[in-house]
Amino acid sequence: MFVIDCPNCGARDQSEFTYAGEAHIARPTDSENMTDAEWAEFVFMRTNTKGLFAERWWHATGCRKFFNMLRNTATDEIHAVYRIGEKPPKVTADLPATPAGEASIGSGNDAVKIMTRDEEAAS
Amino acid sequence: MNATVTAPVRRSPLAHRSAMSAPDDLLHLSERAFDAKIVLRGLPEVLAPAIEKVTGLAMPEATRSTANDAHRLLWQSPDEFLLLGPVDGEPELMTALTAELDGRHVQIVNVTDYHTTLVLSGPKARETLMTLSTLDLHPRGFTVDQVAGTTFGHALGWLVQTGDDAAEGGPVFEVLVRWSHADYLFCELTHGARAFGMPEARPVSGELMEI
Ligand SMILES: [Zn+2]
Repeated sequence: MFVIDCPNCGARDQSEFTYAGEAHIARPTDSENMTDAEWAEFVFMRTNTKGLFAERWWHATGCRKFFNMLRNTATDEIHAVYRIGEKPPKVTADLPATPAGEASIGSGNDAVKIMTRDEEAAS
Repeated sequence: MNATVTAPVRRSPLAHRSAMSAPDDLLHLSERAFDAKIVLRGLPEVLAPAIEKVTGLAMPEATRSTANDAHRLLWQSPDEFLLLGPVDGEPELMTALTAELDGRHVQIVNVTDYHTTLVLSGPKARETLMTLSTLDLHPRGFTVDQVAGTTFGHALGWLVQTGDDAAEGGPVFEVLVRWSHADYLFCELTHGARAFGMPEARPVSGELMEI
């Protein structure tokens, strides 16, 4: 459980919020000319980032407004909360240096190894 | 034989329960049904002159409420406000507000029979609410006139503090809860206050709700 800083209501428990998927996905403007594959891309395909991720949340029990959040999906650290329509602020986030050196994209795929800072310095 | 037809009478959702108290005035719990309740949606600057004219109230800041003797105005979201007024006052308020805001981009909805109000007062009111809520209910974290929409157990409700902690008898809180959740919340609140000697909620009539 973590505490989320709603831009309207202030700090509230996570249980008051509903996750609403990846942020900044623009609805297509020429939908009548789109192929099924393009629709599928818009409706279903998400980046599934491990690390810093821009996502939408909905304050279901309070102001009932959507807002955006930059969250590190590996650590649950919330780096920024900003309103719908605003650009994500520039932040930097470190992935945790896990003993397994997990992949930065997807889950369990260790084709891409993350190096710890110590390993990076030694290489 | 002449049958007598009487006008329909409203029955509150907690008509089968009576107000309850913990010993030594630690906590009083009761229902206050039928307050006039009107949801106003629109930009605050559009709503403000009409609300001021009809009720005399200023617009509340975010997460706050404003009040006078007859009305209270709760902030619910940047473009949504809940106006509480006297019992049976809703037709008059609806007429006046609708006239004042005629032609403006607003929504005015009478929700009088949608919510009922549970009133908690006493020195243990905060701790009783804490048993059901994740809000920061420390006197520094939640102060008089503050408003929060949150969950109490499984029930959604709007909490507002209407009486100061320093006042005699302790702080006063009101929880606006949906009609159909009111019985559940009443029982959960009495259950949460068992530590302060609150007896179990027993209905005056109907079935006993076991929780
Ligand atoms: Zn909120």
